[in-house]
Amino acid sequence: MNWLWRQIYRQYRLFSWVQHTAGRRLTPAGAVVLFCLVLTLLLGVNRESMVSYQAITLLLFLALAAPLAALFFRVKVGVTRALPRFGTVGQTMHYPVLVKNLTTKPQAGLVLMEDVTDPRPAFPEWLAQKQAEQQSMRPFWLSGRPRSVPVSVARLRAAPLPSLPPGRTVEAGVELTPLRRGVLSLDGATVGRTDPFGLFRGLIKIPAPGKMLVLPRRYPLPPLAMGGSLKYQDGGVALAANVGQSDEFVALRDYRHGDPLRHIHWRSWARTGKPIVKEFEDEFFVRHALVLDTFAGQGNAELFEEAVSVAASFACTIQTQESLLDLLFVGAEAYCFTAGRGLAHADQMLEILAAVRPAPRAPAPDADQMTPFLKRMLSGDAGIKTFADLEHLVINHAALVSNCICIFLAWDEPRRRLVEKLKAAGVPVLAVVLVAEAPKVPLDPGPLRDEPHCFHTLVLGKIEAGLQRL
Amino acid sequence: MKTPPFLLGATLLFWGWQSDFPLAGAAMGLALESARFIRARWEMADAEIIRIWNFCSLLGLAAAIFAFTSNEGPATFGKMLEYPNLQNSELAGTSSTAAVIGLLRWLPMIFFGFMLAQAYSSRTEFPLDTVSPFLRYRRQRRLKRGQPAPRLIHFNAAWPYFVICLYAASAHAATEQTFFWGLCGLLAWALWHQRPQGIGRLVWVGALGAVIIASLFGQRGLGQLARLTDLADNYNAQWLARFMRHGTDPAQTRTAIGQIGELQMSPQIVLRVTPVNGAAVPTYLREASYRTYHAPVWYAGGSPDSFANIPETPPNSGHWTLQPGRTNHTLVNIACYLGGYNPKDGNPLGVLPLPVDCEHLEHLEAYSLQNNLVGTVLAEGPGLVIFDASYGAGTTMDSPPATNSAPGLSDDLLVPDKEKPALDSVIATLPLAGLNEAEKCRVVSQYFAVHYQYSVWQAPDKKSPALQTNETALARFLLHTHAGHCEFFATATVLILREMGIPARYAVGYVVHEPAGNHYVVRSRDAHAWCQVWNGRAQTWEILDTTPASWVATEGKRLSPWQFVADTFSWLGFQFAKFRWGQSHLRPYLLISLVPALGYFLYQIIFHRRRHQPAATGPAVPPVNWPGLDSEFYLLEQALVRRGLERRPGESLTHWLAQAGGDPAVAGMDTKLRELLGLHYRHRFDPQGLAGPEREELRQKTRACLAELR
Repeated sequence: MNWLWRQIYRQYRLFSWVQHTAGRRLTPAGAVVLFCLVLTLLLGVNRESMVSYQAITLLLFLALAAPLAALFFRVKVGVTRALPRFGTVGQTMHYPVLVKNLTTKPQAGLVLMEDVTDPRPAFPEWLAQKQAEQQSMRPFWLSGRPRSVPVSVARLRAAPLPSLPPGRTVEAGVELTPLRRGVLSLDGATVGRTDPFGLFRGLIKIPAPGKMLVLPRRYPLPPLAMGGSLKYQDGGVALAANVGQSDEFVALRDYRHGDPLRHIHWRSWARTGKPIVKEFEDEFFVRHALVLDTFAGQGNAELFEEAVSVAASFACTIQTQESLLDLLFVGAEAYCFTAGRGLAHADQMLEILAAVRPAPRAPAPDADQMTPFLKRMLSGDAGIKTFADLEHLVINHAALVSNCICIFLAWDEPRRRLVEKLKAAGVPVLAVVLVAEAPKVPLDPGPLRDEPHCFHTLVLGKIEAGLQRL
Repeated sequence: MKTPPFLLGATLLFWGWQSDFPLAGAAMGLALESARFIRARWEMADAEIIRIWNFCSLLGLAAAIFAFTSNEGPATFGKMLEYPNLQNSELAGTSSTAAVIGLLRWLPMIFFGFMLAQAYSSRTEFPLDTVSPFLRYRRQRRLKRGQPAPRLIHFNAAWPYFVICLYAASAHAATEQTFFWGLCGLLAWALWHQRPQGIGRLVWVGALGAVIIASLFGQRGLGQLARLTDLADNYNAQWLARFMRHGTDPAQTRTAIGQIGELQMSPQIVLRVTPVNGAAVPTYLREASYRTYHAPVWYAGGSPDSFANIPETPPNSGHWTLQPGRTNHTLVNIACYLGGYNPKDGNPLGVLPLPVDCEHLEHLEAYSLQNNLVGTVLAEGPGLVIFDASYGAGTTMDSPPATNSAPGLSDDLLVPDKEKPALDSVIATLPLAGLNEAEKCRVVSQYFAVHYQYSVWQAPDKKSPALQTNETALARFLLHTHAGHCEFFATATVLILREMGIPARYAVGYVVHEPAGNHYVVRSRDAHAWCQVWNGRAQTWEILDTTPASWVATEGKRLSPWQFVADTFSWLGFQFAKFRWGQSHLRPYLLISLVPALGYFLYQIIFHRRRHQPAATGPAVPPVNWPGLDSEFYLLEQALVRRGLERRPGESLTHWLAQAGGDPAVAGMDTKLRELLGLHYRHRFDPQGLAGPEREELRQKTRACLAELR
């Protein structure tokens, strides 16, 4: 069976290569000529009743001459790209690319195409995806195409270049629509020109690597009135994030056992002869927890993507000037990131969400593709692999937070138990459950039965409308 | 992308010229190109485009039905379904081809309405949804589900119409090159307008000229290729037949008598014989018999046209009676290939291997069946035939030895003069005195069994007197080597018996001896030759096989240990041939197996809703109570709409009232309405809202206006 899957995978790679190459090489007119050639070959069999066979050689030689002429296409250009740092899934963006003619001849009729790094999955990933699709299928049942994350990472349109005088630089406006979040790598750019008949493009690749981070899609959210109270934060804002030191100095006092050495005020010690430590102000402020369920399971890739989008929408909407927002999730390891009150901004939260992977099959993003911020934030956490561990992480954190927004990919017993425990700890909970299809019977809110307005079901395809009802 | 000016008009003119519709082509071209000079345009909504497309599609359907019926499509297809043979299939194919070509010629007229609509429409491109019900359904389904609608794709119908016109222009038979040159001109016209910048005109013209010249040479090559293809088509069947089938010529057979070396025989399976109702299978299956020997060839005698038709009684029943009046009930099922092809109609043709005493054939789906005087049965039909042969002891199909008055007398007793000395010397050694014909046959058989050996190897004997004298190969076998294969034994036996005055014939066929499961397989190397001797007392022909019985074991030793692999492929080929030639029950089984599936789908369609159920009503969501929704101004708006002042979707109230100001329905109320609108906007959007008196003012004034409107 594995052999068969490998053969299918090879066919998939071959077919996708043909599709990709044909899309870049063939112009619409070229595609029509090729189609007509095939049709004419079929009709040309009947030489007694039709003269279409006379068109066979003409179309054939046109189809042969076009690639032949494209072989002689030579051009030397330099490409400089002003790639934005961030993009957003589904949002078309434009950026300039400077193309310099390095030849001594004027160049005209050129088009510029961006080369995205091959996004096709390796065999193990592809196999896992296919098997997951098969598991979700029902035999002899008509259904739509299985929902999955698109393979292509971006939709790009060839940008026509204005005439290029020798040694001059022109600017091309590239239109790019990211389709998947994460790091979008560009290998380089391709400059092409059609053959004299306008059927086939000759292409020259120019290495010009570039990277951008594609942030998750975000939805507008109505103003949120989250419950909960101010919480005492030991060590203030800075220690709330486990980094840095608070500057909110209040007074000096005698050393007590257990005080950190860095709080000792050395000059006072020298002056008084006994250890004196600095005392910091107690801080009380609102702290939100945003729990992202990453245990998507097989075949729920699209659902997981939407969950990340919902999390990103919350991360952008919650006002963090006067509060903190903790993002808790489990990827390859367990993570807790804090933003707000100058610690980190929403865009950094979005960077993290751009790199979130589902927990069970989550290889950590390649280190060389991460921004320095990501590298710093993703280092040094303990490994947590199951939902029970996410529950452990959240419950341990519950004492610090004012309220908790949980984005779940299912509404099963472990998740209900987590909500129940949070409620028992006195933490107001807003539970958002994403489902692939609208359930025939509305989901039972379980522990949130007494607060139905805190339990929301979002159906795939109607996420935006569902969020408006929050 | 727009088409170049006047390209479509020229293409329609070209189509009209090529398709013998010059007036229609000119009128259509003129109508289309006039759109360049007429400024009036038709504002068409999507629904109107869909209606025009549906009309064109229906027109196409009607034209297709007309073309099909006017070319005798129903009759030929009905005949093909009733009597499925190659001839009827070809007739059905011819009529459908004529229908398709006719329809192709009319396509520019069928879709002209749609093209005209685009030419005179204010829209230069139409949405693809308008011509695709599938896309429309998908869009509506997504909208219904509240999902974002897929991106609209627009297309310019002019280019597909251009291609359709060119194909329609090619739908006629011609030997001249007018279509080619017209096509070159129109394609050049189309390609000229999309040549890239930076390509010089001369370069472009040179490149296209080179392509056209190469195409002209290519046309010649194509002609040669077509001739080669025709040759290959004709040869293909023969070539394949060498690998797949054996062929026996009923008129003559060339023996290997006189050949030096080892006789190479293929282990390929050529027949499959299955006993019916547990009956024994016949040992000998004869294909043909021959009368006259001119070394090394045996001839059947008579003319090639001496075959007589055997009627199928009743017609299309698959029942063919070979010997009327006999009632044998032993059946054997035989599957064999028909090796040759009828030069007249190209149908497969071949000799059937049958038991010599075969009485009738059942379930034989042949087009025709013929036999000759020596019992050879020639069948024309599918490439593979599977039938039941009824046989049993008794008379055979062969004609009896000719009497003195018959011209064929000499054939069954004829002995070549060259062979007589050797035959006589053998006969001289046999104790035949006082024996009747049957005893003589037994003596001859014993003589060969005792003194001769089976061998497929014929060594060149340099010391043999045959090299120095005119001794024949058969004489050398009889007098010196005493070893040979079945053809030696059969030929020698026939000639010895004839020399003794007993009518005999040379027969070829197969020996059935190798069981394979519940049936027997017969390989090419099981081909055998034997003697048929006339039993005057029983008035029938009997088999006299003098070849030593060891020949079967000798041939068996030559089988490769890997023969089972080849046999497996042979079985697969046989199954495919059965399916190909309609001899298997797979087709009905396939249809029958579809019934539960169809029933299941029908059940799903009727009793089950689709998998994606409409969204269930979730927990009740309280409606959003936006401020100002209770404004009485909305009542006023509804009243004005009822009076014919339609407000477009998305049109602001201010703009709407400004537009409606001139209407007699609101004459004299402009100021009041504007004042009320101001209050309404404040009530609706001002965060402070309206104070109590202002709110009351809005209420009262609106009511007054409503009363005034009534």
